[in-house]
Amino acid sequence: MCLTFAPTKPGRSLPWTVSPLRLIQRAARFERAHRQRLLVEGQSRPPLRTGRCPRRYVVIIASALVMCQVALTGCRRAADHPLYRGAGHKAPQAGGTFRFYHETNVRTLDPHVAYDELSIAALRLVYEPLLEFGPDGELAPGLAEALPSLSEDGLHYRLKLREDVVFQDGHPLDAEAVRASLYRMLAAKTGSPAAEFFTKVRGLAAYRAGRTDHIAGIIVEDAHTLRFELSEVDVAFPFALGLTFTSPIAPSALARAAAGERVPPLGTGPYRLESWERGVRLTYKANDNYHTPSARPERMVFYENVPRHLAIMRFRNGELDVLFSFSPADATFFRESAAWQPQVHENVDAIIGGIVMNCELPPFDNVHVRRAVAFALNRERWRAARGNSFVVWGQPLPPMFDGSLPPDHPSVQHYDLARARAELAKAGYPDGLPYPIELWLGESAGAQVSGQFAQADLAKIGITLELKPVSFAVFLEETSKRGRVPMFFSTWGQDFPDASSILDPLFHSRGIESDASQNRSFYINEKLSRLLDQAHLTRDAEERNVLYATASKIIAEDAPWAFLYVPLRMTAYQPYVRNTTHHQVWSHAYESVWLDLPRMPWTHMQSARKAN
Amino acid sequence: MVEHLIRRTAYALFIVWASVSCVFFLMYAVGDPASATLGERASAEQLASFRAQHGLDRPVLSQYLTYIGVQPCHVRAGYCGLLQGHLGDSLRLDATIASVFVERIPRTALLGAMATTVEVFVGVGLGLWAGATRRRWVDSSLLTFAYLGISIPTFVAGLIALDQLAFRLGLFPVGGYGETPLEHIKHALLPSLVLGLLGSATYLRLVRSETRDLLADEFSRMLRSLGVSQRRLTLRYLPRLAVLPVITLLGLQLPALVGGAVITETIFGWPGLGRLAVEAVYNLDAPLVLAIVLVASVAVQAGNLLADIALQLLDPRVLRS
Repeated sequence: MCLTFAPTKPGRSLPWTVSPLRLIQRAARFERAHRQRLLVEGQSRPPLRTGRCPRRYVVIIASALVMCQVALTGCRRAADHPLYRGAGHKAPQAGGTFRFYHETNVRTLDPHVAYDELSIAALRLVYEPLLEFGPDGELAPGLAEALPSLSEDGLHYRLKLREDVVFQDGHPLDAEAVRASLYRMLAAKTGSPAAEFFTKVRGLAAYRAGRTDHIAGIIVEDAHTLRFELSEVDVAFPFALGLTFTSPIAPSALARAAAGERVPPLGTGPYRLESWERGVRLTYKANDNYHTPSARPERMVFYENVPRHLAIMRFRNGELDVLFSFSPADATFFRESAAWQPQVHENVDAIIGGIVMNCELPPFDNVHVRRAVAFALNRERWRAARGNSFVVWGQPLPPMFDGSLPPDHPSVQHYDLARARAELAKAGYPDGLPYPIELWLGESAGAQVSGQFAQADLAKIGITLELKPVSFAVFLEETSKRGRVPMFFSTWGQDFPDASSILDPLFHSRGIESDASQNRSFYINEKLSRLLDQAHLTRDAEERNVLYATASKIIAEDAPWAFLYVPLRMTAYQPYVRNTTHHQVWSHAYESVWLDLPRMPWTHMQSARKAN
Repeated sequence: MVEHLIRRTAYALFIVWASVSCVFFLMYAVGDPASATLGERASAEQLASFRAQHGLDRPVLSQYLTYIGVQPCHVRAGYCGLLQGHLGDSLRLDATIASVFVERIPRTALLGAMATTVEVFVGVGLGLWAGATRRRWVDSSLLTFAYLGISIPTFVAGLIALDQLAFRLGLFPVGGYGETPLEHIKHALLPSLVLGLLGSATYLRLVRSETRDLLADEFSRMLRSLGVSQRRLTLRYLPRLAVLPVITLLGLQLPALVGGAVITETIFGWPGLGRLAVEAVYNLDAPLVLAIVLVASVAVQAGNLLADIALQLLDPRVLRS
């Protein structure tokens, strides 16, 4: 094997050849001779070359080149626009695969047990509750023909089921199947969190205690009619029928559950579960027997375990169809990108956030100290620092709820440093509190930042906060016990879009227990509790709203919480995803979307626009 | 040899038992698993029912004895502890721990195997080169690489690699796991390269210094005097001796691999045991945490045992000593 080198200059006419093999052999001979000489001289190994060596500069140059390469790669920008657009269909199209995700694992697909956002998102494609919530939170007939009719005395709800519904195993939906499913859901051994929403159903306590095998208040009137009998009036009862807990499970699946097996996912929903690779993805296929056919994606893929930083990259690469988790920097990017901005939706979530003060522990047993805290927090400054990711809100009910006060109502908590100092003086602390207060924080980075803001704000009126970050488990356990935690950050979201879903658990004296309190501020105001009870019995909507507005006013003024914000839910969709709607109750509601396929490269659209 | 193995196995079992026992009592000292599982909306009745259902309302010692398998089970007849081969049920996931492990362990094993392969081949290869070369610039460059590998944390290198190589250049998939076996390997490439290249630094330094010592050894001098070339010496005779400490290190590196998986899997969204461990600890899913500790400690002990055996097979002097 020879390498031939052509002469580099015209004067050298003859090519010269070199055999690499010979060169190596020659070098090896030289090396052996050199080693022999060293051995004779008593050296085991030739010393490393020292002195000026031009090769060292090779290292420097190579390193510089590598750094340049890294820098250049870093400068390479990802596209600041979507990679794909839709085909341009006006009418809804069936087909395609819609891909969404979450950052953690789906716990369960058992509708009677699931109570976390992620599991509910996963099972809502397979199951349907008896009633539904519309996009604005209004009750709508789900599996029922119409909303339930109420008797004169307000104690009986009659629900007529649709007759064209079949389970995914082919069994028709009837009242017996619904009753069997409700019985399982309400059985004590199922351990469903739903029981608390149905406590007023007649005979439930006896059933749960095992004294009887039927619930007197759930009656099958005919093949498609159910009657619910309550022991006392509860205006919020129909909302409970809209929770996913009431989703009927196919009788064949219930039989397997009764035999001790896990419940196979067989409901009446628009999709059937095709496969679930735990921790990776759930794949759904459209249910051909669905009672309300519509143009929708043929498949849905729900990816589990996609961390936020990966979700953003995959969404921008066109591998995901929706994005809902943003860092402040990413949120700014999507808001400011002209191409992405139309794809981004921002809506107020029905969640209230604030600092909870333990009304049984000093100094927060004094209402003036609590008010001082509520007035000392500069919410606007905090909002700006958090990338405008929430709306400042100084009252217990989020803005979409009946009974929430106008933002400029005098009772609404707001930033007023002078008034905060005055309240503290009224409490007997004109120079501030003489001792520090512990502020407990959960594990999130947001909680740490929020804690530091509160610390800075309260220092201005002489309240020293000591931040105490603890694990989520400890946080939950300790804050629910009496006399343990003086102050902590908390949020609370609705179960259903009714004021009772927020005010009852958080502020009713009934919510206080020594070990597992839901009213974690341990705030007791009998007048308020009576108001809330009265609202449950009041069937007139206007009158009920007045009651809840009065309750909101009392709570804002008594300040068991320093209310801070309602979060903004930001969601971005790919341009080919159509009919996206914000749902006030469910955070992942994709049943109505359709895909405008085939998706086209974004540049084509740009070119078409230029041509036009 | 057999006696040595029996002694080592007994010692390994003791270590596994001690680790699991320590973590058991620590987990129950940290907080209430019922509150962590059911969340802030759980009523006192639900919490009580959950505790009764999972035996959490019993004294901790009783729970421990049931868990180990020397006391009858509280949910079914007979015994249902570790000694009977039961890992239990996850408190949070609606599944048995065994079924979760069947899915998760192969994923972590795949990532670990690929990362270890890169680690060992790159580390040993470059270490031999750095040790045997007489070119200072090669040696300096390789040492610089080794120091960089040791200094850069996995999460920094992982995030940079994801952003630059996967997201911007599109050379690798952006995290995830894929659907087919081939896709699993494709998705594991980037995390295993990052883990492997960073991890190879330790091997590189070890093999380099070992190679240098061996080259100065009488053994090498004799081979040279017999006319064996430097290349042949480096490629044929030295590796077998130079990798002896690598095998020991490989056994010791297993815990680091499991520990590293926690970070790597979180960064790359790899649905393996590491990510599961993070969530289990976060949610105080005590049975799951204990099972992961059990698997990890068994893996570590098995790794050390295998390293012992391999060392003795490769170097009979170890057994004689």
